[in-house]
Parts: sequence; structure tokens; C-alpha cells
Amino acid sequence: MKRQMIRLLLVLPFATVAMGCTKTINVEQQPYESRLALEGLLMPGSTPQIFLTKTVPFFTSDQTPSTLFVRDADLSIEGPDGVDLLVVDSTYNQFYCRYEPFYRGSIPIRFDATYHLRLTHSERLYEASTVTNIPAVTITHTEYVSEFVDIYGGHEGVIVDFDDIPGRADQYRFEMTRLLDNTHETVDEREYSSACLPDGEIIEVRDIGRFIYFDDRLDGAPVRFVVEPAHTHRKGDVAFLYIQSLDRAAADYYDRLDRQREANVNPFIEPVFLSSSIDGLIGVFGAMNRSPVVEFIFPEDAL
Amino acid sequence: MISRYLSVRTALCLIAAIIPVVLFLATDSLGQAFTISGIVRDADSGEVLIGANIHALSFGTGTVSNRYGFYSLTLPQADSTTIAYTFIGFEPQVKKVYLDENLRLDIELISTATLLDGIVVTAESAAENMAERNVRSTRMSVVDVPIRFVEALPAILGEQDVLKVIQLLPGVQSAQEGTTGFHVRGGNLDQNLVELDEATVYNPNHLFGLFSTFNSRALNHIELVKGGFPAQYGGRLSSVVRISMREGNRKEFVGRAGIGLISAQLSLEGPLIKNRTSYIISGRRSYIDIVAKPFQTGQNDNTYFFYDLNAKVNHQLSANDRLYGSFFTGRDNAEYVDSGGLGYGIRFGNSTGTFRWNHLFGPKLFSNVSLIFNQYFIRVNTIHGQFYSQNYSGIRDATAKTTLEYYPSPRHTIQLGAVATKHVFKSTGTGGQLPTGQVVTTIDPERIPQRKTSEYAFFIQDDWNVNDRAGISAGLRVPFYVASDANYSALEPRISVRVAVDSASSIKASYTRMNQFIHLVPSSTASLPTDIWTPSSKITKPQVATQYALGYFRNFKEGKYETSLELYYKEMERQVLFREGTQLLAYEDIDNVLTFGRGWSYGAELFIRRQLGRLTGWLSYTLSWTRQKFDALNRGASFPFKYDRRHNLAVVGTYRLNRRWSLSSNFIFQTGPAYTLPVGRLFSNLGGDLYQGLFYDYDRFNNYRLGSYHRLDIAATFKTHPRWVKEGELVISVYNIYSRLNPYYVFLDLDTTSGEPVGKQVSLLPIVPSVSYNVRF
Repeated sequence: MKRQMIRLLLVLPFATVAMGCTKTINVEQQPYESRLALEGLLMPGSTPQIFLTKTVPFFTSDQTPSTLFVRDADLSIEGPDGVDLLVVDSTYNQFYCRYEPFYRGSIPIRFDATYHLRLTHSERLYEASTVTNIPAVTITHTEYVSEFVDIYGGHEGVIVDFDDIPGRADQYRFEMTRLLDNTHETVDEREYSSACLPDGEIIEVRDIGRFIYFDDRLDGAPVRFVVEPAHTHRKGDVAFLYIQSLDRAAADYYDRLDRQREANVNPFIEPVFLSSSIDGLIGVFGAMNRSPVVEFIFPEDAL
Repeated sequence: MISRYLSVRTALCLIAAIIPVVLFLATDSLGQAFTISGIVRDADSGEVLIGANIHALSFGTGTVSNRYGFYSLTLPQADSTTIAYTFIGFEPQVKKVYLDENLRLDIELISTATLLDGIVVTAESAAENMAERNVRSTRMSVVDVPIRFVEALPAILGEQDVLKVIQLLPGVQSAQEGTTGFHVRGGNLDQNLVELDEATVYNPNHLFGLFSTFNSRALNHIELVKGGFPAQYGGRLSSVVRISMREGNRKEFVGRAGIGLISAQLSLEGPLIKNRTSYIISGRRSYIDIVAKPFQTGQNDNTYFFYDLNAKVNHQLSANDRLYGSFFTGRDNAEYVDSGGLGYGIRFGNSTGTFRWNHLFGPKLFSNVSLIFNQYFIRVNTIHGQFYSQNYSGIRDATAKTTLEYYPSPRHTIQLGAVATKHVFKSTGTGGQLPTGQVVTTIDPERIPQRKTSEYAFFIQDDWNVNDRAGISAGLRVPFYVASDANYSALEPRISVRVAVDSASSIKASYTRMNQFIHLVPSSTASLPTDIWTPSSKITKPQVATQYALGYFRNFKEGKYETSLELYYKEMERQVLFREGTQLLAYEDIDNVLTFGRGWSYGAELFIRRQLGRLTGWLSYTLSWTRQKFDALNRGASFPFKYDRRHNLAVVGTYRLNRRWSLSSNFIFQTGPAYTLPVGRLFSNLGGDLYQGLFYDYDRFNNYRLGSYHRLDIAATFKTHPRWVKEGELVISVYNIYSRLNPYYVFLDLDTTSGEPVGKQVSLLPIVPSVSYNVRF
């Protein structure tokens, strides 16, 4: 009996410490008023596309682009060719089986012009301006690498070389468009859609690199991006590569999105607040340009 | 505005000019005067008594023994006078002396614990004198914690802890559940200077902070200073915790041993040369790893152990010279892997060495010279899901320090000194997503570049009791800092004043200015402890604090109850936090991931203490507000400090039932700390597939509060007298007796069925009973 008591005394503290637990709690949603979130980058030669959604209180069920899209706004972009009244349009994303609505303009954007956005919603006017004077760069070299390590981990990838434009502050990111069938998956979530993408049918997908390169420290130097494709590929698959040049507002916004995404999943990173270049809402109205396209053929499988 | 940039030469000239002025002012007209000086000791062990009261009854004046037990009292010539020596827990002693020459009076006080009866009665006058200091001393915002009291309080897992007791004092906010970290008057953890025999201990924790690295059996005295800093204190903005090790029994060999639920300890002490040289060596080691070893399978073996070792030797060279050598080392080593993708390995340790020489130039002039070495390192490797983080940080310090204490009259105590410290920092880290193969190269400390900096300071302080009704304590500290890319210097004026309201109450006020040249950058992520200290540089400028305090001090029932109510306001400039989105990887570049702002804190602190009788203890209550403002954070708006706890209540008590049994308890209530959660979500579409998904809309920093923290701990101590030892002691304690699951932190997760985000709360310590047994032989 005495021995059992001693054992009990020894075991009890550790047993109770181990009871320290995790439980789901009711975190009270703080008062939150939905705001507008806008993304619009004007590119010379293209017609404007503006994504306008509303934010939702944090503790709500999952949302889709269609449910969050704000349809009852009035948007116009005024430029050297007049006022472009934007209308609601959408594309169907066969990979994710969903409609993705947006506002579309009809007047092509000119290079080196000033554009003024007016957005009216719920009797409130939001305004922003941008100048489309971002020069494009030229991709000088591409190649494939089967293993590289970056802050996102170990991957295979595509190397893209280009030269920074000297004498100015520049910001760049990578873009790749590809044609996929339903046997391709996303590399991180291993998602693919067969329900909306019949066998043998091909769709176009667009990867945009999350990493934003700022040339603050190496003005005019050669730049090398090593990029992980967002989807799996087979030997012989074709991709079309670009380098996007962004204005500072766009670069800052997407850099924060990228860093917030890292912070949301990596417990060792400080949280990131999103910024805005437009008073009263979240998001960015900016300008970009794109390098001439370079075709790239994957030399091996990565499935 | 005080200049922060003055040359060493200017500062030295300034101090040199001040010294004669202070000495002139300090020379009171006493006519023919003589000095009584000496050392106050414990009669049982010969251990010096720090803070003992020495009172000249005929003159209504007195002094207090310093940290080496030395006192000096200069009085006018008299046929005879009566000197009373008192100290809590000891029988008062009264000496009648003839004041016709300078006298050396070394006194030994008898502990009340060795007396059979009359504990209550004999302690009364001591308590009265002790409490008198609460009212009559000019110093404010200082709390002494008797080590005997620490040993009587409830202990988690049977380990008594000095830093846990400090968390129960007014103005002190505990950091997280179970940890020994604390925040003083809105300051960050790094703004507390924790010293063991004058050596800085950078990480005074064991078991992830569950209890401190200080073995209470090896300690003599603890003092917390949180404001009204005398000029000899510097280098930190918010507090100084001064812990003195015991010197060892000068009269006989004594051993102590104890075993608790997770560790065992042994202390040996005794004279090497009777009444001249003594030693103490005290060690403690956990044994969880040894007990668990037979049950481990070899795969994913989790292990943990810690140990610490204190040793001290002192030798009396002559009546006027004394040498001390003290040494401390402590280590923690933990490895943990669970099936849910969380794994970590943590190793850290502190080592200190202090060598001191006390010399008496005469009955009025005491000097101390110290050489101090300390070393700290921490290595933390963490895996959380697909992400890993690896950090190494180390500091080595070498310090030389000298202090002169001059007692020109009973009304003046002048301290003058200089200190020089060389720091060597080594820090680096790696992290990110785990590479293919899951193998990460371990950091090699030998390959980490060093950062070397130096700190120097000169100080002068005069504690002047103008008369029975008023006192002033004024000082100046002049610190200098030298780094490879920047030099800083400053003037730090310190002043405290006291005005007596009546014989039992006084009003005090203080002003202090402090600089801090090294920084521990707090992370707001839920990661494991990564104590990264970084020195000031051209970019990371020194932190500066200005503090104002006003207090009302009153004793009741002839000193049985001492009370105080203090109001404070503290302004902290150049506070340091990480920029948004930072994961600290390249420590060589740490300056570029930091952002700088300011903080301010204000509040009221109530303290009621009873040091006498069968029931002793205290009540402390703090009402405070602390906010910070950083241009680069929270969109430039101010936000609450993480440990901005509005209410902080602690009730602590011990009750001696009889000579064998005593009971103790403490209750704590604190407002929950602040943390950050998003309030909205938004969708991004334009960025292409890699941006697809929902992002967080944050409203402001620290917008949520964890639930309130409260718990009740109890303990019972039973003294036994087995034949085989001199004394035995059984301690049974229960931590968090009503098993409140206090929130530790909250994180976000997705509900598996609704897909809706949910909050999850982690709690650490429910009810924890424990038992320990200690013997003295």
C-alpha cells in the first residue's frame, strides 16, 4: 500500500501536467464592417480588368470569388482616349470549376499615359491614379533545374535570366502561362479537376511568381529568377514565360500578400498587415508591363 | 534635453567637479565625532546579514548594513550610547558603547529559529525597525524578499523559486503561464537586469521557464529595484534583480539534501579555516531522463534534463580585507518530437564567475573591486509541420567594477564607482520550408562572426537624510557605449526625495533616466523561446527610459503592517520590435529587420505587507496601462503592449501553526495579455494561381485579449527530527488547486466540417500536486 502511494505521488504530477490541453474556443468576432478590395493593374496594349470584391468578417464560412464579387459598383477609367466605363464580365475557371467575375474595360491602355480610376459604391466615391510608364525587360536566357532550394523549400524549377534596367527603381515578378489537361495537379495542394475538365480537353492556366524582386541594392545588374511551376508537368510540355515589371504600389501590395501568406502558415514569421494604395479600401490600382514572351519546353517530367 | 552624446573627457571632468561639492555638502558639523563600524553576521553560520538595521537610540539615527554586511555609523562624542542591531528573523541585540574613539564592532545576531519560544515577541522590535525603513528611507520602488519567505511558499513540482516570488510583487507582470519571465512597469523582458553576485544571468530559467535557474538553498538575499534607481544601477530600463549567494557556514560543516518530484539537490558548506575561510557548494539536477530511460523504445525518444551548480568561497585576509570567489553554471537540454509534426531541440546554459575584494580604508570608507565573467548560449532547433527554424545565440561578457562607499556622517552615504564591460555576441539562424530529404545542416557556432562592443560607466550617489523629516538621494551615472559602427554616451540623473508626514508615514518621489545598450527583440509569433540578444549599433540605437514615481508609505500597528501606494509614469524611447513578416534568419543583418518606436506605461501599485507574527505575507495590486507606437507597425497607430495587463492581484501568506507545521498559499489574478487576430478576410484573384485564396484583414495590433488568468496554490511544510539527520522537512504543495485551464495562447485553425476559421486555445498547467523532502545534516 505504502509503495503504491509513493508510486501514485510520483506519477500524479506528470499525469496532470500532461492534461494541459488544446480546446476550441469561441473567439468573439469583433465588430467588422465589410470593405471593398480592389486589384487592377493596367498594361499597355491590353484592356483594363478590375477585380472588385468585398471583405467578410473573419469568422464566416468559406467564400468563393463569385460570392465575394461586388456587382453593383460603377467603375470608370479616364485616360488619353477618353472615359472607359467598365462592365461586369467573367471567365470560367475549369481547373477550379468556378466562375471568376471581374470588371472589364474596352479601351486599350497606352504606354506612358496617366489613368484615373473612379469607383462609386454605396454612394461613396473612391479614386486612384496610375501612370503606365513602366518599361519592359527582355528575357536573355532560360533553362531547367531539377533541384533548387529557396525560402519555400526544395523544388524543381525554371531559371529565367534578364537584365535590370539601370538608373531607376524597378520591381519584377515572374509569369508563366501553360496549357494543361486534367492529369496535371497543383504542386502544393495536389489538386486537379476532372469534374469540369473532360478527358483530352486542354485549358490555359497562369502562374505568377509570388516573390517580388526589388532592385534597390543591385541597380542595373543581371537578375536570375529560379521559379517553381505551380502545376506538375511532363517532358515536352510547353510554357510561355514573361517577366512582369510592376510599379511600386503594385509591387508593395503583392509583396505584402506574399509575406502574409507565408506568415499565415509559418508560425515563426511575424504577422503582416495588408496595405492599400487607394483611400478607403484594400488593394491596388497600378501599372505593369510585360517582357516579350519566351517559349520554354520542359525537358523532363515532374509529377 | 539632456545630451546623449558627450565625450568621455567631458563626463570625467563633470564627475570630478561634482565629487568635491558632494564631499563638502556631506561634511556635517558634528563637532568631535567617532565612528562605529563592523560586520553584522548570523551567529549560527557566520553568514553576513544584508540590510540589517543599526540604530543609535540616543541620537535617533541609524544605518543599514550593505551587501557585504558592513556598516558604518559616525556619531558625536558621548559618554555612552546604545546601539540596537535588528534584522527580521533574528533576536535583536543592544550594545552600550562609550564614544571616545572609533570602534570596530562585529555583531552576531541569533536566529529566532534556534530559539525555543518567544519567536513572536522577540521579533517585534526587529519588525518595527525594518518597517521603519519603509517610511524613513528615501529609496522607493524597492522590495526585499527574504529567502526564508521564498522557501516557505508553494512550489511547482517541489522547486522553490525566487523569480516566481518576484512575479507576485506590485508592478511586476508575469510573462506566460508557468514561466519565470516578468515585465516590470510595462518594460519588456530584456529590460530586467538579473544579477547573481553581480554577474548578469541572461536567461535565468530551467524547464522552458517553469522555474528559475537559481537554487534557493544557495542564496542569501534578493532585492528588486523597479524605480528610483540609485546611480550604481544601470544598463537596463525597467528593473534590477540583485541576488546574492550565501557565503557558507564559517563555524561548522553543514549539509543539506533534498529530493523533489523532478530533481534532487545537495548543498555542502563549512569552514576551511574556522571563522576566516568558508565555502559552499550546491548542486541540483533533474532526473526525469534517468527515470524515463527504461521505458523508451529508441525511436523519437524525448528527453529533458537540467542541472545547476553554485559554489562560493570567501577568505578573510585581515580585519580590513576579504576575498570572495563565486561560480555558477546551469544547463538545460531538451529534445521533443510528437506525431503531429512538432519537434524541437533546445539547449541553453549560463555560466558566471565573480571575484571580489573588499577593503576597508578606515571605519568610514569601504571599497569593493570585482572581476566578473559570464557566458550564455542558446541553441533552438524547431520543426513545425513543413517549416523549420534553427537559431543560435551566444554572449560572453568580461566586467571590471569598483565601488567606494563613504560614510562621512550618519546622514550621508556617498557611493562612487566605475564599471567596464566587454561584450562578445554571436548569433545566427536559418529557417524556411524543410528541404527534400528533411535534412538540415546544423549551425556551427565556431563559424558565426562575432560582434564586439564595450560599455563603461561612472557614477556618484549621495544618500542624504537632511533631517528627521526630509531626505534626498541624488546621483549621476554617465554610461558610454562603443561598437564598431557607433559610439553613444549619456547623462543619467537620478533623484529621490522623502518628506515625512508623521512618524508612521511619508511621501516620496523619484525621477530616473536610464539607457540600455543591448536588446532582446520580442517575437509576436507563437514560436518557442529564441532569446536573441543584439547590441546597439548605428541603426539600433540605445533604448532610453525616463521614469517618474510618487508614493505614499505608511506603517500600521507599530510596524506590523507596512503599506505603500505608488504611482508611476514611464516613457520608453527606441523600443525594438521585428518588422512585419520577419523571420529572423540572417543575424548579421538583424538591424535591417527591426523597427523602432516608443512605449509608455503608467499605473498605481498597492502593497500591504506583514512580516511579523504567525501570519506573514503580502497583498499586492497593480492597476496599469502600457502602450507602444511604431511608425512601421499597426499603420502607425498606438497599440497595447502584449503584456498590458490592466489588473494584477497577488495575495501571499504563510501561517505557522506550531513548531512543526506551517501552511502557505498564494492567489493570483491577472487580466489576460493582448494578442493579434485578423478581423476580416479577403480574396485575391489577380495574382494568378499562386495567390489564389483568402487573405487576412487585420484591424490593429493586439486587438484581442486572452481570458483572465487566476489560480490558487497551497503548501504545507512539516518539520521532522529523524535520528539520522539534524532536521527533516516534508513539503507538500498543490499548484493551481482548482485546476483552472488558464489560456497560454490562441491560434487559428479551420473547422474540418464547416471550413470556417476557429480559434483554439492552448492551456498548459492544470492542478499539479508535488512533494519534496529536505534534510539538514
